[in-house]
Amino acid sequence: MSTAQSLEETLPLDGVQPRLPKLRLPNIEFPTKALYKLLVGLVFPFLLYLLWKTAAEQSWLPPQILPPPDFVWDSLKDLLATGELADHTLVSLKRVLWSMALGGGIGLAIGFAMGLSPTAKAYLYPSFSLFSQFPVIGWSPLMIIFFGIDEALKVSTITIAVIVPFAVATYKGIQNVPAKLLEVGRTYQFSFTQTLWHIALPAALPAIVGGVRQGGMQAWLALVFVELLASSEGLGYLLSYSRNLMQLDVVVVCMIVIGLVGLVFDLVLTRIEQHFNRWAPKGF
Amino acid sequence: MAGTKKFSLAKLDLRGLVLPALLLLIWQLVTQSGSVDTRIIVPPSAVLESGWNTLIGGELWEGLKASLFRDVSGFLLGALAGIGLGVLLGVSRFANDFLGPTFHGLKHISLFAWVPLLSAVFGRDDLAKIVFVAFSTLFPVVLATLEGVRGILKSQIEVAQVHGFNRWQTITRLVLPAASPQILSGLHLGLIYAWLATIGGEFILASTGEGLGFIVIRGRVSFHVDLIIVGMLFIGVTGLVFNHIATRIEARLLHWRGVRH
Amino acid sequence: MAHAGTLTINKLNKTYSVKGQSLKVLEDVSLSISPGEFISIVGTSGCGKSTLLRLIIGLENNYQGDLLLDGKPITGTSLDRGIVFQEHRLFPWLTVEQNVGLALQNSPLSEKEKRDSILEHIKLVGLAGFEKAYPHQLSGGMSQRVAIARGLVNRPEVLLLDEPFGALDAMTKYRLQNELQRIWETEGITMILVTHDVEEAVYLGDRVVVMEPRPGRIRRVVPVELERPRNRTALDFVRIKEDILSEFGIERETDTLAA
Repeated sequence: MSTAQSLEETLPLDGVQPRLPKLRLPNIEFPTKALYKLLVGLVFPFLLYLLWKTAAEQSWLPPQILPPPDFVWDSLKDLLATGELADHTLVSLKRVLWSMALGGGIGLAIGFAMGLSPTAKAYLYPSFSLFSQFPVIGWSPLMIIFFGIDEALKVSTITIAVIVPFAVATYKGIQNVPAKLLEVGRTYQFSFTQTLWHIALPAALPAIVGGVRQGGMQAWLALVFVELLASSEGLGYLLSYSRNLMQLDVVVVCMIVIGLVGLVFDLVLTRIEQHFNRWAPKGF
Repeated sequence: MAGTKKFSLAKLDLRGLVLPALLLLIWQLVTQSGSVDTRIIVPPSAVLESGWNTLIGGELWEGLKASLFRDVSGFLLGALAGIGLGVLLGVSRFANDFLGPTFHGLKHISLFAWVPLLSAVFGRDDLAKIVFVAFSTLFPVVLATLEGVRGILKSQIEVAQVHGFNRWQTITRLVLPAASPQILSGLHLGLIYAWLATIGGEFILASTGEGLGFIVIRGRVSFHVDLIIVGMLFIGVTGLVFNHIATRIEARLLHWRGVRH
Repeated sequence: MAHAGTLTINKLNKTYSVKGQSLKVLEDVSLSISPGEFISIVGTSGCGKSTLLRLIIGLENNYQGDLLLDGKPITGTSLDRGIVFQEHRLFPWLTVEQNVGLALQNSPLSEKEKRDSILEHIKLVGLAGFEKAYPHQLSGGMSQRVAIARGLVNRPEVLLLDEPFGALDAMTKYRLQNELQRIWETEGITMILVTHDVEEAVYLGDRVVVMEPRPGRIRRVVPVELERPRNRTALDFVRIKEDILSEFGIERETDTLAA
């Protein structure tokens, strides 16, 4: 969060000549500190890695349960080379993105309806509240009965997972539009559409984007679950399949990729959220 | 606001019941119309009957007990470890530099991705499931505790220093109470995740034995949709009860914050 | 120059209903405001001065009595009446010129006329050069000036100001009071200022309306027949100020005998 710099304070005073900036030495403190943090942070994983390597070499646990680190590295290279990893990752990503679009649309619609219309809220909110408290994954057995185990199952399950965070964030965002700003609209004769477009939406946008981020997280969670449960493609499937074959090296590779995708998702969405939060109504 | 509100039927907004009632009605009518396979779209009456039977037969209660056992033991394990780790990371700069990056890296691995690994190491029985539930509780609790501890104002720490608190006292008398709103919020979230992990774990690691999740799975496998729905209902109600209890406890313990929250 | 409006308030009454109880906020308020006049309204909290303003701007309705602008009853908001709130209420996601332009959303002017009016009014409040700045880059005083520009850009017949300088520090307040006076003299429209600062009321107003609470009503109307710009330390200024303050139970300090 940047401190508000008053432009008044930066205006030059009359009659004072601006001075040349003084030569400054580069700040040597910064790189060293960051480097230090990086190194210290890596120590623990490194120790774990050493432990892992030793345990595998000394066969403290049978190699089926504990594959040596080199195996994992080789598996990773193989999977990348054959393109298998990329294929499965792509399948998973496509599912998530489709579901987020679908669930996002539905969630936004519900959130808007509840936020803008007290009547809609009276009818929808109790059912929605109940619905949101039921664990998403609980729907999957029923979905399997209805949809079988192909694509419709995955997309529907993930969509359900996405609807709730989207709807809640949108609803809260609209609700929290400051009444004082709405009054400004009234004094200028804003119609309902104008109020929505010029005031409510921009004011609610940071919250809605936060909802996208939450939705992304829930989507990824549901995806892995549903692919573990019943799928023939995707990262979750690969994970499950290799586990059944006791190929724990592949299991670990999958976990790493799943973690990385989750991380990237989160970083990108956080960045977007921060961008919109610059406008967060504070001190208006 | 303190005091009890007069319960007035007139004030109860019945419009919220319209949607569920409508859906129930459509459901019932559709099954009676004869245009669908009633083995798949089971009429509500069949669900009620099935539910009653499993209730009487004791299967439901046994399942509930078993699931709750896994849930609560995993939750307690994860919660204690979570608070401990969270306080450690928050209080000790060194621990944060040393362990922090690893933790923050691991937290991005989507929850259910841990199941295969855990099942390989711990087997497919209760132990694996309990460990999984503990895992699911751990992450939200650590993150919330960390946030709470970090948020403690420097001014409050100085008060403790001035009064000569030792490390242990600082932690128990200042850090934990001051961070309690976030910790409780984290525990609430952990509770939700724990139930999610309990049921999800039972779905993925289906084995013989008791459990609400198992009832649902068996229903699916034997195409007894009524059993599935009964199971889902119980799962949902249990989750609701958890949520409700957690909210009440949170409110009670945090009454010192005032009504604004 | 805008056309200044005549505001007529006749036996205005307003009652709120709180938890089944009725609360009378304004009782028999009557006031005639001439075109181009500057009226200051002072009173403590609860005297209904803000409610009065909200009724005039049209954010509150449901009143008994007459409330007329140029002979026509006031029902709801209109571009003929502008307001500056205590908080600047600028939209954080819009620039200064976009914020001012917001007021022209429903104006019948052409695009070119709108642009000219926006730039003219930004210049009027002394913020030329800051058109593209965002509210978070502005100080409190500057933000309030933008709010004033926004209130004037429609050239309303009457501008209402609800404790506009209440949230600012003393130095900025003095500066903006002078600005407001200059703008009023330039534009020539009717202005109604609500404040709890008696000195501000006397400094700016042609007349000072003193209100008292429970229920809100007009206690006295004090004319301020001093030349502008006024001298805050001049004896006759201070006399008027103390006269009004005495209504609130604050002791006089000046010698009441002729100097």
